[in-house]
Amino acid sequence: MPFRALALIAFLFFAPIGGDVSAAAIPFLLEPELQIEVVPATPAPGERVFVRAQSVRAPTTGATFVWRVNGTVAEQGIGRDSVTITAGEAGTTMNVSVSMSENGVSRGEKSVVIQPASIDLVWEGNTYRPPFYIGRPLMGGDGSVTITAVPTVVRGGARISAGDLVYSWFVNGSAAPKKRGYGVNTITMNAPLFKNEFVVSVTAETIDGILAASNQTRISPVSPESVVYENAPLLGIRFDRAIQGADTFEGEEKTYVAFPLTVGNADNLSYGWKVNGNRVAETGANAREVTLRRSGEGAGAFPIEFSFENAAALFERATTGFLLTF
Amino acid sequence: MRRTIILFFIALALVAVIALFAFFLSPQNGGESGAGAGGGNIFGNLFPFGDESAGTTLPPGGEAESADTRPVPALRRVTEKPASGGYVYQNGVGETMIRYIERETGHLFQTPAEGRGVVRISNTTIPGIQEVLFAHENGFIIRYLNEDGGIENFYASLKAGAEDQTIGGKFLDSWERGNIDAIGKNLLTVAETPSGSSVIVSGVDGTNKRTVLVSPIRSWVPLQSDTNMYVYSAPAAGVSGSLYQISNNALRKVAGDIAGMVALVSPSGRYVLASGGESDVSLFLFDTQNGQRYESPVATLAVKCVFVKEAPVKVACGVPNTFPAGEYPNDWLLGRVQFDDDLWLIEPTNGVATLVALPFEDTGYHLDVWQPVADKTGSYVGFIDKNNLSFWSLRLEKPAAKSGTESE
Repeated sequence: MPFRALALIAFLFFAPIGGDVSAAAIPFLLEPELQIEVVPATPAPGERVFVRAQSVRAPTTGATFVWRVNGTVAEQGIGRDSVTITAGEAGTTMNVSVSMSENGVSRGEKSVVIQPASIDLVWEGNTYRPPFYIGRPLMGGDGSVTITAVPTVVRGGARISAGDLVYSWFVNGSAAPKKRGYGVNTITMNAPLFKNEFVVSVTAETIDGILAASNQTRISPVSPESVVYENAPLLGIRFDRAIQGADTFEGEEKTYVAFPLTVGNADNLSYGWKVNGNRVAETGANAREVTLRRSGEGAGAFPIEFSFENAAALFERATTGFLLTF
Repeated sequence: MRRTIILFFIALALVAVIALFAFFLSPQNGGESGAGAGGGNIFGNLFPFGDESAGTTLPPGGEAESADTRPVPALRRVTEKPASGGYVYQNGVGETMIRYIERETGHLFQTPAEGRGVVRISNTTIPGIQEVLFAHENGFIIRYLNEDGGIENFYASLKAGAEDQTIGGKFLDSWERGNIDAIGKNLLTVAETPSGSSVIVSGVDGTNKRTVLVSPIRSWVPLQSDTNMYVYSAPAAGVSGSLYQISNNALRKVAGDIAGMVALVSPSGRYVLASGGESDVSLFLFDTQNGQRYESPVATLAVKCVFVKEAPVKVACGVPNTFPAGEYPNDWLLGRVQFDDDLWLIEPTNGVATLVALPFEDTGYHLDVWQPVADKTGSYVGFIDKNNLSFWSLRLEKPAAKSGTESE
């Protein structure tokens, strides 16, 4: 019903009075004007892609759709106005076409080319890490983060260099890009709202706009903390075992060294140790280190506390402690 | 009388001079000039413990426990004392040997995988070595903290076949993380710079340097196959990570999108072992040749594993009985949690995992496998127990004896 009825109404409405109108003009006027929607718009290699046909002029209810992928029928049926396909590798081209008909009469055809491309976002907080620790430096609430894009965009079998794409960076879904430009594949930024999680998204496209890839990452700033290790005389710092909860005093003296985590610059901090609630006077060049010596006899347990603070930063402070038993 | 006294003092002086010569020319006192590639006892002047008397545990060149003829168990505690790292290899006659560095002295020791005798190979005292990257049995990089808290990287070389010798070699450039390929040829390092990092490949002795990647990210972790170079994004619990191959100063994604990912690359480069997950830790094997991904029947961190064979692919792993509450892998990397591992041989492509050893039942020790290494035949695995830093070996199978008379 829909197309024929609409065609008739449209014909009567638009037809010039007394005019000589050919029958071929009717389908032109009533062409459903198919559009194809692709979700995601910039699919990554191997990603499931949802493709849907829509008409802006007429409803497609009852119409028969035939979907072809690279010329081969993939799906067909009455009311089958969408298809889900799997994107190929980066650099491959997938031609998806749809034809619509009603009662055997063609009502239009449309095609779209899908060229998968991907982009990874790698980020790290611009923060201090203990030596030999391979874990990622995280971001603090008043620190900054560096995010770099690693695109996989292939044209003609050759990868396009990361520096040869146009990047648009967005924060928390903003309409206007925070940064945009040719070759701008890295962005450094502060936390938008202190410790609140935020989302950074990027789109990279070729200069002609034909190939594009997009992605986003969620970044959660974390609170600074510290980790304490024993610095044994001949073994060195025991990075393999952090001191937590409790430790036992053996021998005549024991040295502990603490490292801050998720702070911008470990040299900008003031450090302090407390034993049994009493502040330990700094004796050495390294304020992150304390040496405790046994005096007298007997047994006991003493709380040991390490803290650091950056007076110039809102969140860069932390305290940790353990119980040392003799 | 006066003449007699003078002659007596002259004789006394001569005896003293001869004694001094004998002392300083003896090998164990660093008198063997030119030992190793670099020659000289570099560390003897740097460390207060450079004096040979400080850390000697064995007679020079001598063997300990050689009278012990008991058969060596499959899972063996090689060292009582903490070790900085170890290496398992076959010598010229096909005998499997283990070399390890004692952490409190820095001395290199050697023991047969199937014997109990221990020989000291180097006598240069370097206490507190944090990490050792072995290129081969006579060449390795030692890494330790200097007085300012910075990391020193020193390429140490030894003369083949000699015992109780002085370490030679040279200091390398400053870098934060490094990886030596399985054939002991190339060193891939990540050096942090004010604007990010430089990833540099060189010979294991630091020669023939070439920058292969300049990146705004400084925390890359380097890996290598025999022919390719890789970096992976530094692991963080809950944060997606990926492995990239370095090619023409660019990154090509190989595997990943795994939260908290740590990874290993097989010597051929065909396989990638990676672990991670949003809530629980899982272990995956990626076959880069066909794009297949396999999940291991048992879960562990990939850095607790080592490739032992590639056809079919097998990895030996320390597998925690349980994962204590924590954020992985970071809490383990920071030493905030310790594991109680069993030892498994995993064939991820077949979905098979074979329990190889139950350490506590077999030895009475709870083991936390760290820095595992395998010999080239895939017959033995060595590792440090992160609980007490002792070095252990695990026999997977006895290698076929090699005929010939070549000695090590």
